[in-house]
Amino acid sequence: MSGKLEYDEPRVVIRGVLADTDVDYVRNFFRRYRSRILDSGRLVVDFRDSPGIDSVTAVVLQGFCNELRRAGVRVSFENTPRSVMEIFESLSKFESAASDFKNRVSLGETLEFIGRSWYEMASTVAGLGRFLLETLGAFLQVLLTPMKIRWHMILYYMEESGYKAVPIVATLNWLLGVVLGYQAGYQMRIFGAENFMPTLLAYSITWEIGPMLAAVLVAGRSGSAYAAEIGTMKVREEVDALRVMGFDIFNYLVVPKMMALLFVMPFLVLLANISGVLGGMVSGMMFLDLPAGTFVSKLGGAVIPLDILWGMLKSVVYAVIISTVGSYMGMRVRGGASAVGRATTAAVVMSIFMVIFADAMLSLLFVHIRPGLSF
Amino acid sequence: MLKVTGLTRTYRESGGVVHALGPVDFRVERGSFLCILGPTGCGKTTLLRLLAGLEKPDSGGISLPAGAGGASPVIGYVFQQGALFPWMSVRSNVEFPLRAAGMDKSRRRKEAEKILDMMGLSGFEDSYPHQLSGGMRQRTALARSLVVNPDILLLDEPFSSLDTRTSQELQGSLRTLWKESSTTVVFVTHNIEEAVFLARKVIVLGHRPGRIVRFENIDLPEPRSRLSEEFTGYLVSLRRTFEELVSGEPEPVPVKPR
Repeated sequence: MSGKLEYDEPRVVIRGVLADTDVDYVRNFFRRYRSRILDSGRLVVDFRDSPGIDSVTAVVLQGFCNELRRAGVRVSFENTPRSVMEIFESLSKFESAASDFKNRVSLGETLEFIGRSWYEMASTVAGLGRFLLETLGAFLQVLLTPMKIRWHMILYYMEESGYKAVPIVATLNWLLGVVLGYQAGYQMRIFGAENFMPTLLAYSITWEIGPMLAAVLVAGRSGSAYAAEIGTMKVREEVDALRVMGFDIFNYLVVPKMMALLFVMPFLVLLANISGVLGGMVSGMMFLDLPAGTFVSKLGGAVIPLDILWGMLKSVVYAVIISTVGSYMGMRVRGGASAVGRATTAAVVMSIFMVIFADAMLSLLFVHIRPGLSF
Repeated sequence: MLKVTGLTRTYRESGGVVHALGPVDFRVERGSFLCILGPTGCGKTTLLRLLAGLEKPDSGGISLPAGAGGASPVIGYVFQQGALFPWMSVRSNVEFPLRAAGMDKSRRRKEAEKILDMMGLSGFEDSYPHQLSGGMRQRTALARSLVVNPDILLLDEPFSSLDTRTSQELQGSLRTLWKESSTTVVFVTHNIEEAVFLARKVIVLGHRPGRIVRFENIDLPEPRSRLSEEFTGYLVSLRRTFEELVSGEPEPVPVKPR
């Protein structure tokens, strides 16, 4: 060993030349005294008995000093020889350059990234459109030849996507109804207008929240399941096997899912509406002294059949979106199991996005349809 | 007659266009046994999928041997991993393609029984795919593709994931079945021995883009023996072509030890 370190609080004195082979020695030294240095909160690295140190040792020393600085220790150097100073300087320059490098992306790359993502999105939407047209074609064909309808598959999907979704749709909408009723009532009470809470609640649940929440839940439960099911069949070449045997993939795999959702979604929305309003009623009784009878009579004066019907009609659109997007993402799977996982995620994100987008468009339409809504 | 002319296929990927296959030209007479031999990624599966109509070519044409009475040909396809439907029993899997053809239930059952018996699967009719060994699964897959009485049978490395013994056993069964029928068989493999044992004709495909680098007639006395000198001759000769393909340069001719 050529050099030596000595600790004399707050000072670390370097004696002789610390060579590259002394790295472990330096490391152990700092480990040993780390807690004492941290306690004192101060460190002076003193080079008075050293003509210089080798570069690797300098890197290690610098690393320890930086770490201690981050821990709140005041670190300073004394009698630093020129050669060591130069090493430290070039080191910190290198570090800042390296961190600079990571953050800087050229304009060209950014433009390319933006362009590529837009292109990918556009091609996904175009593919989805084609897929939807083919599915609708198969759908019409099936309607013309009812013998071909796979009723047992439709029933299976109705159970999976509809019946089994009943508890979660009912519970979540009920909870939302309670919260909405309480929070709206609380605000309205300030103006003495809590009698209008049932109306507000009924409109927001039947127009928006009921259908939307039902659709989001079905997208999460069933859209993902459809993508995973078809994606797995794709990976295992079962889809190709069906095609070689002469089965129409759309008729066989996609149409039953869509039909099942078309049958089931309107009723899920109805259920969502009922449980949401019931939640609001409970909220009114508990927090606003609004008796159930008053609540119901207020509802009767405000809600017209179109309000309920509209949500159920919207759900038909959502059913088409969720089943198509789920199946399409499954069909797009290429490669292995990880692709199935990505398709599942993509199916959920894409269908929720499209459901909300479609909802916004339909709301514009609703303003003109429903009496008493336009200004 | 199976005729392929100027067939090409490219794929669009994020990195650009990948030229996977072609142009490929060949013709094989009806009832022949053709092996497509090539290293991994040479486009042999692509060629098979094009023949089955699972993919569309960029250019070129395919004419398959016509079915009975000039009808469009019936295709049988055996996938690498079998692609059996996991929710169906062996019997239902084998009966399934007949459903697409609109055959009634009792006839479906009879046809399936016949082919299951032939493939040595009697007694396993009610098992599910996950309960079977790899060899049994591929037997079922083979049965499922044969039950429709195909005019052309396409096989994509069906025995590649089986152990040597099982694989040779199935090769024997396939060959016997083929000799008794008039079916044209196209068999994709990267195993030279398998190709020489099975095929009447061998096409060797080169690397991307997949092109035919060699066309070989296998003339071996029946029954074929893997130990005969002619067999080994074909094996060595094809292996040389293969090595040249993989290494990109001709293999040095071995010097005889003195």
